[in-house]
Amino acid sequence: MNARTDHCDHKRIDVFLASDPDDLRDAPLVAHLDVCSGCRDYMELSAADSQSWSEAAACLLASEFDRSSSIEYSAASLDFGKPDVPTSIQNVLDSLAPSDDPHRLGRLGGYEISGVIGVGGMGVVLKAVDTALDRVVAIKVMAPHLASHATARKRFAREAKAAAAVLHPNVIPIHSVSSEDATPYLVMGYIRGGSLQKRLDREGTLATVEILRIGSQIAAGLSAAHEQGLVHRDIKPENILLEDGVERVTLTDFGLARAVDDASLTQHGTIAGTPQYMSPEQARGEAVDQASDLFSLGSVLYTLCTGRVPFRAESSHSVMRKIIDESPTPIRELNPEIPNWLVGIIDRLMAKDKKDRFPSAKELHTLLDACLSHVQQPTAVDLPESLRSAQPTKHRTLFLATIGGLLMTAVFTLLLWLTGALTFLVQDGPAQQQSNERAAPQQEKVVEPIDEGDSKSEPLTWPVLLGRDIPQEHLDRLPKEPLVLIDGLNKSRGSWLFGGNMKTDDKDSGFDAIMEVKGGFKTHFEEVGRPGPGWTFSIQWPREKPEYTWTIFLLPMMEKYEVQWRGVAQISRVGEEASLLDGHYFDGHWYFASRTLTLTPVAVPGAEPGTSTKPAEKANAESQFQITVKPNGELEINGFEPAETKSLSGKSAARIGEPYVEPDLNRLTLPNGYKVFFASRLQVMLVDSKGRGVAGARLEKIGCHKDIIYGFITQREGIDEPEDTLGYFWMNSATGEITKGMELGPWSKTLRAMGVDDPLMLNPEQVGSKF
Amino acid sequence: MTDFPQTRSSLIAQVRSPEDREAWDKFVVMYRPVIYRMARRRGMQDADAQDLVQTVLMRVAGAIQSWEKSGPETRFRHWLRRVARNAIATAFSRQPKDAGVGGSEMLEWLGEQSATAADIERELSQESMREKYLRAASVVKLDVDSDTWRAFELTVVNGQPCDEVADLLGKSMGTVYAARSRIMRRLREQVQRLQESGP
Repeated sequence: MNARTDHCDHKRIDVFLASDPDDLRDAPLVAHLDVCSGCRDYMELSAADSQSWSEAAACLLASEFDRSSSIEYSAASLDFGKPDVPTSIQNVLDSLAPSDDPHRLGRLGGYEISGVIGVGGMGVVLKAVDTALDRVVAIKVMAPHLASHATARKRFAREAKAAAAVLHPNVIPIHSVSSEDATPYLVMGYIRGGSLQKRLDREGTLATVEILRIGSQIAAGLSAAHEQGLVHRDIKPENILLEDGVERVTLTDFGLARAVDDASLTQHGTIAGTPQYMSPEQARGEAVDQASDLFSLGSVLYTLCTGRVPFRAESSHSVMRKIIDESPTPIRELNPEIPNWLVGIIDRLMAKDKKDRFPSAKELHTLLDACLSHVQQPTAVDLPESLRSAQPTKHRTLFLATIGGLLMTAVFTLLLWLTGALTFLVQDGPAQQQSNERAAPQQEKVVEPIDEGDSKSEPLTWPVLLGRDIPQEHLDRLPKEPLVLIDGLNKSRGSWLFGGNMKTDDKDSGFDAIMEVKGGFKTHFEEVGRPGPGWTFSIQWPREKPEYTWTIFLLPMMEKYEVQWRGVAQISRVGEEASLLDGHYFDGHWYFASRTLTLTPVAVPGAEPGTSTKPAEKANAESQFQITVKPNGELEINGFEPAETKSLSGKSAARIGEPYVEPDLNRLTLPNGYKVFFASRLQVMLVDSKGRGVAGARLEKIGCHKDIIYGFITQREGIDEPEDTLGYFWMNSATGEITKGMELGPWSKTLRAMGVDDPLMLNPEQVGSKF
Repeated sequence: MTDFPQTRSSLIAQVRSPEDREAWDKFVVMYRPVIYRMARRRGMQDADAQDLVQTVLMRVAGAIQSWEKSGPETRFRHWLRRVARNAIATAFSRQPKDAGVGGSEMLEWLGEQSATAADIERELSQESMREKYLRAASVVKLDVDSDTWRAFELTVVNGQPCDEVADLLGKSMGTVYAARSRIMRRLREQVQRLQESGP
């Protein structure tokens, strides 16, 4: 055999390519490849097309999260069957000695393993019974693949040593360590309960007294660790355990802890710690000391106060950038109930310069403890001297100022929309586009002008609304959302937009009704019997050719210490003078506990003697309807029945307190003049040039390309939960005609036959205007 | 210790056909890391990302019943993929609960929302592809000498010039070219296999 073959033999290359990659017995060909670029090119293309080559390169390039991906070790996935049993857990369990007790998973040293508690970066935490002492323990077993790794063993041993050195009720107790075995393990106390993170997930923000109780205990545990010369370096809610039934907080996971003087542990580009709770010095990759833990503790307390981490961003890197450069959103903007002095403490903990933080965890513990006593017994125990200056003289004034400042920034509007099967945001079509200016004065007329000076500086309060003083403790119990709602309206401009699905004689006419909702807050009503402030809105319906005007008044009333809303609704024909003395009337009460106002047809209220009061004989009892305001500001109107033969129902959502920006409609005008409107974050509507809805889709997947609109078609009939199917609508760009659209599911086969692997991933470009 | 305590979700246990069960298992194995990585890329912490993975999978699992009722016109794994994609898109396009419809962001939102949805779809497709390649690589890697693999990795993935890599590994240029093409071919085969059998 020649050492080199000079002729190019493609067949030979094909054979070679298919053989074992390590097999180099065809040395002449290999030698030929040294020099012949033509054959190399042939071989490469024969192996895979050029797209696959670049795909492979891109796909196999390690990403930031591959390394940190603990998903394959996830204990949480055990519910999903065998293929998911995390290999790391399985490996640990496989390494156990068999147990005599069939109910146990195995045995490790003198411990009978009864379950898996969780998985950490270094290994698996098992639940076990110490047979000698008959107590339940937690055993952290080092992952076998790490156990062969000297550095990892060292780190594991260090964790054990660090944690064992700290004896404190708020630090997880270490019972014993075995670092000599094939699989090193650490025996710790078993805490029945969950992590602080779990509680945050469950409850959101915590009450001040709870924040102080937890903060004080972490500070105590931290103080004990710091006294041993340790820095925990990974203080975060996941590492703080709350024991069930006992008010004890335990600091755990010293996996990253290290002695301050441990010189061998300088950074080498690895990031230790959870980015969200890192200190600025940690984020910068600098050496850290105890003050770093104080910053992290501050971030934890911030999270407990606000329900969210102080620094949020798309990537770990951006989070760290923010920790270094930015201040978090002030706590009281997110939760005005947190007292100023606590905000002061957290601000100090989160000082960028560590010199500005508390001198020690011990000092912090003493302070938080004193605060806790004060909060638990406000009359018997004063707030610590050092914090008293931070206490506002008028707690409420400050509170109002904060909210006022927030509200001042913007002009508000309310968008109402329906999220039925068809959802849309009503806007003027192109023909009406130019008339927007003309429409504006009309809108302003409807929105009741309010005293801007007042409303800008101060939000609406219950005492203002009800015209009387309310003791603070009752005030605290009153719900905020109706106030926010009204206040939002108070400052609103323009009209609300409300889409509806209309039924005629009980038959669904498909997409149909468009209504315009206008209204606002009035400081003074005379019309409805009790003079005073209140909220009104009116709806003209249908929009194109209004037939009816609905006017709804909402008046707050204080009964003892419970707020009720009296609602009065009126329906009148458009063009007829709207007066409370004719038309249909509804009356009802709104108890804040239910937040639903049920309006029932009644006789005309507040009719003056002598005036012929028209009884609501036309209105039947079934025309009762409900308005519900949800805690998140959503507004739902059910059972709306403006006439015997037509009905309107659906779920609407009101978004209050957000600055209103006129949507840029031109950006979404299709070639035929159709417009795509976003009806909510999740819903999109296609409206023709007359403002008539044509099609709707969920927003997760919507787009348009020339004469194709693609999106999810929502299937609601006959199933409990709406199901989305990806599909396309075709549109004739000349006539504007929309063909009904196509669900991709049944067409998958056809597409596949056309060589399209993955119909769901099609770009419209790939589909073309027709198959 | 062959029987690790498994509590198959009762919902999953309702998937009667063994073929569909297998499809479900494959689906979970494939999609879990995909969803996890997408979550991490959005700044979620490990635990949050894992929770999100569970939420999505539970959602999909919860929908299985409705599929079984709907009858066998659609193949299970295609149905599964569609539902999963919806669930993932929903999970990632859902904004944090404290954010309303951003007023001042309305414009941005109008302009970007469709792009975002398309981005998620694209990202999901990319991540699924990545997962297939990663799996394929882990299989192929085990079958070949470490130098053969390195020749592929360094030149294709890290983009180093072939002559440099040949020097580094002490191999001839022809050997490096041979290695990377043959591995590429095997990778393609594996990826294709995963595409055909996978979810």
